[in-house]
Amino acid sequence: MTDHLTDEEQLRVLKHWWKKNGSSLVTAVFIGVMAYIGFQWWQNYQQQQAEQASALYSELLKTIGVEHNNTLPDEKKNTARYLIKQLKDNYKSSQYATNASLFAAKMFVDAHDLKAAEQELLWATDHAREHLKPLIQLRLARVYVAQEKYPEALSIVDQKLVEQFGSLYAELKGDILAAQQDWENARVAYQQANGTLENTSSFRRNLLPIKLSNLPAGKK
Amino acid sequence: MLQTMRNKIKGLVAIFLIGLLVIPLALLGIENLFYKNPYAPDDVAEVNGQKITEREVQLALQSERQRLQTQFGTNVPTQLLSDESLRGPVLDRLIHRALIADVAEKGNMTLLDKEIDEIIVKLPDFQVEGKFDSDRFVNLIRSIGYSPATFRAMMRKDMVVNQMKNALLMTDFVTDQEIERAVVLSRQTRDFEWITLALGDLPESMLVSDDEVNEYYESNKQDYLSEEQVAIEYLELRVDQLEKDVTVSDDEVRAQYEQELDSLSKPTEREVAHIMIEGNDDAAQAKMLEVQEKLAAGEDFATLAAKYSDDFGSRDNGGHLGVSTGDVFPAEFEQALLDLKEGDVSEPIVVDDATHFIKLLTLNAYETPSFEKERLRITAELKRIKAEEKFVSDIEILKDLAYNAENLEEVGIELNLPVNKTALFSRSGAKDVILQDSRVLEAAFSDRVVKDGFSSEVLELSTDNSAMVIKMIEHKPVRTLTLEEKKKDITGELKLEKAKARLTEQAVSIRESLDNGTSLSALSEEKGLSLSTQVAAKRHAAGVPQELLNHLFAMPHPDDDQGRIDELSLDNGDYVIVNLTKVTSGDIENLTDDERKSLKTNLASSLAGDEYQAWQSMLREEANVEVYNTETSAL
Repeated sequence: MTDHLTDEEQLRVLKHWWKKNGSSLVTAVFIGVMAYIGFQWWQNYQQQQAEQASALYSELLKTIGVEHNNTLPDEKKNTARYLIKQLKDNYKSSQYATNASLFAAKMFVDAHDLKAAEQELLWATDHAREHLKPLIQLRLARVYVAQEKYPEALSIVDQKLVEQFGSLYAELKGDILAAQQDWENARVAYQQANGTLENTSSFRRNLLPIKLSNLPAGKK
Repeated sequence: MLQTMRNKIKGLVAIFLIGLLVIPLALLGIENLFYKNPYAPDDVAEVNGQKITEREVQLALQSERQRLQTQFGTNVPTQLLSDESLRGPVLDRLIHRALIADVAEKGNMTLLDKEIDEIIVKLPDFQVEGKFDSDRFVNLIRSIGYSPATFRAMMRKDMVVNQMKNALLMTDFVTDQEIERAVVLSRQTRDFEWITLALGDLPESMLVSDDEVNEYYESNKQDYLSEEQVAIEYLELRVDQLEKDVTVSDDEVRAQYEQELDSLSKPTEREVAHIMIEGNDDAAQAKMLEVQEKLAAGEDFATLAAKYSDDFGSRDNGGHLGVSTGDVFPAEFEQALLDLKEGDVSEPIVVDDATHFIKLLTLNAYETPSFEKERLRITAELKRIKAEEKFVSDIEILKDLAYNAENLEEVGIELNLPVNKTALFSRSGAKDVILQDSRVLEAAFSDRVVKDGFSSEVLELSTDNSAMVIKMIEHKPVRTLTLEEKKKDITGELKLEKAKARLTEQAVSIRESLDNGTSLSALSEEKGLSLSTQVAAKRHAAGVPQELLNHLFAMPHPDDDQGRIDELSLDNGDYVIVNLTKVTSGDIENLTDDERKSLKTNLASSLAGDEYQAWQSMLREEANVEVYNTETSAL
């Protein structure tokens, strides 16, 4: 189509085109470049945040060590608390924050500070991803039971819940009702828990029938 | 057309269009727009969009096999290590791993390269002499299909999966209340007393009529089935048997002997020492004569070597030069050596510019083993080889002949093998050695042998170098047993039933008196039955049948001091009447710190394990898991 144009004419056409469309082209390229840079920056930022959280968490694991069931010396406890707080304050959306909060809850229970453990598990419930909630709520309910806050605990175990946690929830419900001396309903709950035991550790498998058989016969 | 497009695409439209093109380019890079991932036939499953490849499955299979072997040693049944039995569980585990990896990724869990590298350099697989070796690392991971970058990515995935798993497993707790509850219940003790109505000889004294037996037989005969039985004849081809029959001629043995001679003989070894005197001048000449004189006078060779020898390498070592098989030293030297007897010293020998006195220290002449000596061994070896050859060719003949054979007799004559016969036996085998082998049993009851009446295939029993063909000679199918055959059993059963009924009657009457207020002890005296008592019995207590304990600990607590009466029939037929008098809670006060601690650990890990299991199956349930092909075989 441009065969019959001389060089000079071609240049003129080009200049004309540039005059008309140049600024929009520049803008488009500019937007494209900005979008690219922006995306890169955002990715980098995400990666950085993730790595910082990861580093803090690694530090936390080192502080707690493998002997997680023993009580930590005060100094380490303080370090752990500091790291946990960092994770919870600055990296709320990271899974590491939730994990840290679970560690904190355990530390509080081990230190017999049930109120603080309750707060910790409430925080975890609020910030955790949906799939972890059944597990966190179960722990929360157990902390309620330990404080004899039975209505709160019951309101958790009475929720419509995921099937796979059925046995664990039912057993806890039995514990709560038994603690309130509601033997008949406790029996129903334990039986339900016993009926849905699956892949269960032997400890629970053994203890559950004992709980069941030790419920007094009649209503009190 | 392009012209019209160019005319129309202007201004904002142009910006919009170009922007539209730029964004995916910026996000994905140019490759992804133009090169679509080729279809990967290698994918085995997909978990929330993440693929699990055949390569991953193979690697996991390999490491699982290794794990089983280190755990159980070399005697793991091969069936357990087969792809078939391992593939399912391994794939399951990979799917679980992928599920948790997905959780971790969505939760922005990651690990720094630095931390991953720290682990990698510590892996013994990648170390040479205790130090990380990067060549070894690269080669090893390449051999399993990874590059350093993809290997690191795989490690990162494993590590975050572990972090996530541990975050749930390590954070579970046990409240004081829960510990107390567990102690109170699991360490509970109970007091009780019981009497036993023993079955003993009671069944024998029961009377059972023929009519009763008949009736019982008629109503149960559908269950009275005999075992299926067969008797077989078989031919067994054995290497050791063949060995007895093959002959080896003297000529063959001799030919073999001669062939082996080269490898049998070894050259003679001479251990040598020398005294060397360098040069041809007068001084050297004088020194040489002096040595010669002293040697002749019988002076010690080693001492002289130390004093006179110019060979610095050997003189302080008695002139010792080592061992020659005839080609170590110069020709003149070796020649002189050949003439020496053990302990002799040679005349002076001139080699190049030096004169040597040579002493033969030891002579180690190897004799070529004689034919007579080797004969037996060679004969045995040749026989074995011939027998094995014959074994292989005889198996072929056996296969051909046995396939169409009317009976094994003819085949046996052809191959000069005796035909053996077994008595009737069932699927569980019999005493005959060959019937201990599961493959023989399987063949004996196979359709081919039993239904079609053919000979079996040739069964090669590699363990003792034998091969076998079997053929059925008699078959007794399953049938209903006759009354006559079952009479004794049925009578016994009926007597037992009657005796148990008698005990139950007694128990009921005892129960009635107890309900009317008689105490168990008074009653035992009245009936002449001994009363056993147990105080503070645990769930496992010596001297009390476990069946009784299990029953007792499942009984409701007694309402008052009177206790709670119950009865049960034990497996051995005895009848027990028991009075549960007291239930005592487990002692929490005297729990030691160590006990408390270990209880706490056990409870926590048990609970955590259960929670984790539940969580995992929930993830699986909710996830989008697709398994394409579980049957893909090994490469």
